Amino acid sequence: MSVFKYSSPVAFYPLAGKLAPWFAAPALLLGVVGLYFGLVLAPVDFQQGEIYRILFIHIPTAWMGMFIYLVMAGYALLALIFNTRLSAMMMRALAPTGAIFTALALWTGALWGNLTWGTWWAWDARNTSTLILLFLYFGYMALMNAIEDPRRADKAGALLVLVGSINIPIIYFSVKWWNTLHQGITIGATSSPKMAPIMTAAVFAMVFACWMYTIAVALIRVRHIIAERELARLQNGASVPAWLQSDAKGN
Amino acid sequence: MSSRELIYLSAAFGGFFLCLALEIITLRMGAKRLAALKRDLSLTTTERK
Repeated sequence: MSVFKYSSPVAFYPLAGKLAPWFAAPALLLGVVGLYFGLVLAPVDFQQGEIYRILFIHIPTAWMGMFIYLVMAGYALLALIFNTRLSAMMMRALAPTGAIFTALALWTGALWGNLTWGTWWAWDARNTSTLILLFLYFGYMALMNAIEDPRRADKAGALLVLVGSINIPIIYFSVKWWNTLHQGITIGATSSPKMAPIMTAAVFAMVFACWMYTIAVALIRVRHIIAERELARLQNGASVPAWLQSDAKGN
Repeated sequence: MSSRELIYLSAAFGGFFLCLALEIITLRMGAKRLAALKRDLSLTTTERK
């Protein structure tokens, strides 16, 4: 059995339905563990007081906003090089969740910033590049809805996502490249975290919870996209395929 | 914890859970709409046969 079989939307549709609960359950479990660690076990910060606990959702949402966009860029490459329909559908399925996480990162950052920096917003490199990321998500979703032919929309969207991916290293390294109000890298890939172990554990539990949640939601949404496109074809007089017919009562 | 901190923490965590809940509700509504459309189309196809 070839793995490439699942690059076909028809083959992936039932698989996505079976896989989604296996990601949703760990998301819930890790979310509860992360919140318990972050809100109950982690001590009060000696400088920031209780407000630092916002970081237990600010860091995961900010990371997910960037990471989802990178995954979308990977799918965009696959869609453009191999012309795979499922890659473009996955890209489309991930975009709303990426936009939500980016908006939440900005919202929680503004709340934290108002109490610690004394301002809701500063036009520094990290904040501005993250805002651009949110606009990239919105632009992608608007473009997908503006073009009627889904295959043409997929190609245009893939191009936009690829071009926009230049913004991700800018967001990540902005605190190194420029003198920003935003603090430097607290948890980096090459250095040990500058946080207490219990706080780091809470952050990572929340990051993995958001990751599992994103996969579960993307799998469910991609099923909707596959079904929607198939149903649009059916309305043009094609016959109902068996894989969609059997699912007509459920879901 | 001061009331100001409590308000800010509630706004952050409340916003987080509200957004995720809205996304899940939207997905469920989409699933219901698709299921209804599928049923309609299946019926139409059966009638055609």
